[in-house]
Amino acid sequence: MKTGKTSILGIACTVFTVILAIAWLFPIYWMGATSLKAETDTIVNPPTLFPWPPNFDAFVYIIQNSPFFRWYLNTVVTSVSVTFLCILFSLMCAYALSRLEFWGKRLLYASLLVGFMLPFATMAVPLFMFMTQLNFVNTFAGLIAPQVATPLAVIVFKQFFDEVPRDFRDAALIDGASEFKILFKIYLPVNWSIVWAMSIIIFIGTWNNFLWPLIVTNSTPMLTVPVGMTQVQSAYGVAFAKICATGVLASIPTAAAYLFFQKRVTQGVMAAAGLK
Amino acid sequence: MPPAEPNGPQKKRKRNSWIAYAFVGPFLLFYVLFLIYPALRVVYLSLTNSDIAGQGHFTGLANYHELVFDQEFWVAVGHTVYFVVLTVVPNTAVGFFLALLVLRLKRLRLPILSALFLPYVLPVSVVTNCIALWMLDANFGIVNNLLGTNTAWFGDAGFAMPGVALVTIWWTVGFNMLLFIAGLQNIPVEYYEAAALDGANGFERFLFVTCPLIWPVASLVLILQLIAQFKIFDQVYLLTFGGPSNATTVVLLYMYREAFQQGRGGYASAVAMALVVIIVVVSLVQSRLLRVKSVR
Amino acid sequence: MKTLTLVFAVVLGLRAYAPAAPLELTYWDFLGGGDGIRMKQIVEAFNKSQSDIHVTESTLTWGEPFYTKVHTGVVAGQTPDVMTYHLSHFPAGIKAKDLRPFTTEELAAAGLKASDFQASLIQRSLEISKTYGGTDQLFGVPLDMHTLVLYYNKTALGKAGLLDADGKPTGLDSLAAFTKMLTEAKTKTHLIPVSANIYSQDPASLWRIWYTFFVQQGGDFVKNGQLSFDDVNVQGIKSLQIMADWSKEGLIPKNVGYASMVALFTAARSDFMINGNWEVPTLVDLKKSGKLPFDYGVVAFPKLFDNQETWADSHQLAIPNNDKTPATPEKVAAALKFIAFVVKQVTWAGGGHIPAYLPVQESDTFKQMVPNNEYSTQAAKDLAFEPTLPIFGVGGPTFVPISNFLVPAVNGQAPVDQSMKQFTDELEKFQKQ
Repeated sequence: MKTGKTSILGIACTVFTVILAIAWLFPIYWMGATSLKAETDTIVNPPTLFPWPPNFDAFVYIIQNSPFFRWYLNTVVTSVSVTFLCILFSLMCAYALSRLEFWGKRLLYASLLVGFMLPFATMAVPLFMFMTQLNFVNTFAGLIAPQVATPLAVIVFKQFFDEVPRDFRDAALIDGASEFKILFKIYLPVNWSIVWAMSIIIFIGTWNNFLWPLIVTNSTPMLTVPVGMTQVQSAYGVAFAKICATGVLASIPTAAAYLFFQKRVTQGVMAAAGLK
Repeated sequence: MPPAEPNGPQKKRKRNSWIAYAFVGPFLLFYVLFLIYPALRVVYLSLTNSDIAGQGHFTGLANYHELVFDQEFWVAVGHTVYFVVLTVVPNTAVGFFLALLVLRLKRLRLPILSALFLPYVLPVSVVTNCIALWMLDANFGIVNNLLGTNTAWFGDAGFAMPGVALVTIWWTVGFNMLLFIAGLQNIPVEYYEAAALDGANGFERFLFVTCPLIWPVASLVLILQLIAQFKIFDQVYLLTFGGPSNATTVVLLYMYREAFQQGRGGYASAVAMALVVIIVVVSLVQSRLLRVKSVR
Repeated sequence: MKTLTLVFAVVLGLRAYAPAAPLELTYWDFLGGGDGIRMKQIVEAFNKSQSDIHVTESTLTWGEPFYTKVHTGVVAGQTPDVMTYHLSHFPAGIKAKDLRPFTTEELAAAGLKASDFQASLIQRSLEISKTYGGTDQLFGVPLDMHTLVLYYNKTALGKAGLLDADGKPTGLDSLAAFTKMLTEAKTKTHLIPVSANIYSQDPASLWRIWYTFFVQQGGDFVKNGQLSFDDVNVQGIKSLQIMADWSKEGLIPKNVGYASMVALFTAARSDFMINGNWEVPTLVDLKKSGKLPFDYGVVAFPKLFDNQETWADSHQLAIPNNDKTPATPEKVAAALKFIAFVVKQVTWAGGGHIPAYLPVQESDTFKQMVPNNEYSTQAAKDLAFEPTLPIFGVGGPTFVPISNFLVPAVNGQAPVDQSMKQFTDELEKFQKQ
């Protein structure tokens, strides 16, 4: 880490960084500002940088003309379920890959890496046809099931479990503990922050997933927020404030989750690439 | 990249295996049903002339034969490579640069870090429809208003792909920035102190301490970026849908069009398989070239 | 325990009086925005008006995703009970066996007969039924016709002296007069003469305008039931050249998305807008709330060439085909009862469309609707539907080459002849697949 003394160059650098951060946030701010204007105000030139008083017509329109709250509910249910199942199963699978011996271990790990490289869009239609056979189309099961098996969490957890000193497990085994107990009473608490962080990552990823919910849902009440949002946006007429309002509504949960848990998220992201 | 296997296989405790399968079982069930099975189905479909719903006959390697001579496919590969060139190195470099800027700060560090990372948590459709397309709208976007022009940024064949690249970088560089922050924080302070004692100035310390020691992280970021950008779909679908005049048609978009607009499910599956092969080959080649070791 | 028994008894007793559960119908449409609001009102009205049938409406994404979902639903045997459909997609849909035809008896049971509807629509629909379905039954009940109309800014044109005695724009009788008038409008009003959606990401509008020019010169894509480019290479190129010239002179803008096109007109930055009649409610609502800073008018698309035919399409109400669980007679009857209700609602015309059901079209309520009565009578005579080949129509593959080749030609980024050749080559390729 460079430790610079306070200098003109140093101050200039800091000022530059602050300005950069503000400019970086500007597009998000602009979306929010546009959403708070009357439609006819969004298209004036020169544009109003700060809308006052704020106009909530666009938000009212969206809430009145779409089941946005039902969409929030769907997305929450899906994201929480996927996150819970994915993390739980990944922990177990990663533990086995890290500490247990079984036939096919190498093959499984290799298939996880290849699976990580597969683009989801390629499998969307066969997956959809499979869903119809299972009668999962337009159901929560259909939304949740395919998203549970993400290789990323397994790969990350395995890496972290490999770091836990082997003595912990050896000692516990001598004491007669079951593998299950070792996982949940030793390995999990020791790695609590990465588990927490990966949960946030999976949650945000599931929430923002666009393609799969688009394909597997058939009815308006079953849509998730990213998909429903694009339907509301195909409204006719002058629509810029409405478009931005749907964007604001769609982003609030993930942005709030991030800002609330930011420390954990940053740790998780760094760990996802194999760093501590 | 996967770490080296720990100790060799331990032959004791065979009953380990049963417990292991119990642990692996739930994940494996979902994985096989919802990832492996559809993937195998895609392989099978690529050998048929199915429509989008999977109805068709076995045609062997006919699709692949057509693929080799399909000019539009190779043009799409070219566009994908172009996009990779526009994003992989710049996204990595910008991430590194931002990490350096952030690490200089103390009290401001967390707010600045949050600001730079925030775009990453937005859904892609918000980034494209509510931000990029709105700000760059030809008649009412703020960028054109400030510049006094009427340019349709994403309607211009020359700008379209760089435009998609720019949006992608703004959206995703936060991830790279965090990786670099972790990597830079892992460099022991003593190395810098030793270099300073040897008379190296700030720039020389950067060149001879920071750069070599951050290289493993950098190559890791480059590989992750490479895989991610080859798979690009969402941004192109939402920003330009492959236009204008196919200027931004990347392989996955070409596959989507063949599948859903032409109704050629079998052929689209062959395109998908070709892409997967390309990704696997390129990542293997790149990891060899960079000889990455995982950072512990 | 006693309380429990009491509660149980009350509940059972109540159930005896509860009405029989209504028949549930699932209804898919692709109607968002102003249209969608009206359709929702109609569905609610239907559900309220009787208790035998309950319709649950789902609005899906307009365009190709809708038809893909219908097709995969048909293949999987999981379909809605009734849905909206575009006439222009009938060739593709009927060929793919996604639709179930209606018998004359089924229609009669719901009080409907073919002669109650706009003749040109029925005739076209039956032609398609014959060619692609091998039957002389209808595959859909027509709901409306929608077409291109000319919106104009009365205030601006009035000030520039470009309105005639009736308050309609001058120069609507020939291409030369129209172009001259647009050029004058440009200099006198300092506005963009025509706001049109010319954008590679949304090629539908460009297609509709070009197609209108094409058919107004007598052009046709289909000769003897086959795809033919004879006219395309003559009248088609001429139409494309005219649009490119207009773009070069600044009479139509370059690269304007759909929302921007409407915004340009409603913000009084253009004199005209060439768009479908479905934006009429937007203007009506803006005028009512005082947010429209000018007086507007709507006329049927003018006769610029040899005839006044104008691109049009039609919303149809149809029942999907389901081989795995075919629709029961009760469901078909219920669906038709719902359909019969919908086509009779003049509310739908509030969306700017022209009702297909003649009693509504000829009713006083409709005839007095403003501004619908400014264009509907003429427009209903000029309908030119999309070519009846499976590669055309909403959700078809032609929009990709339109976007890739015709849009740049109009924008002046590629030569007209070359673009048209590339376009026809692509269509040739699709036709073969």
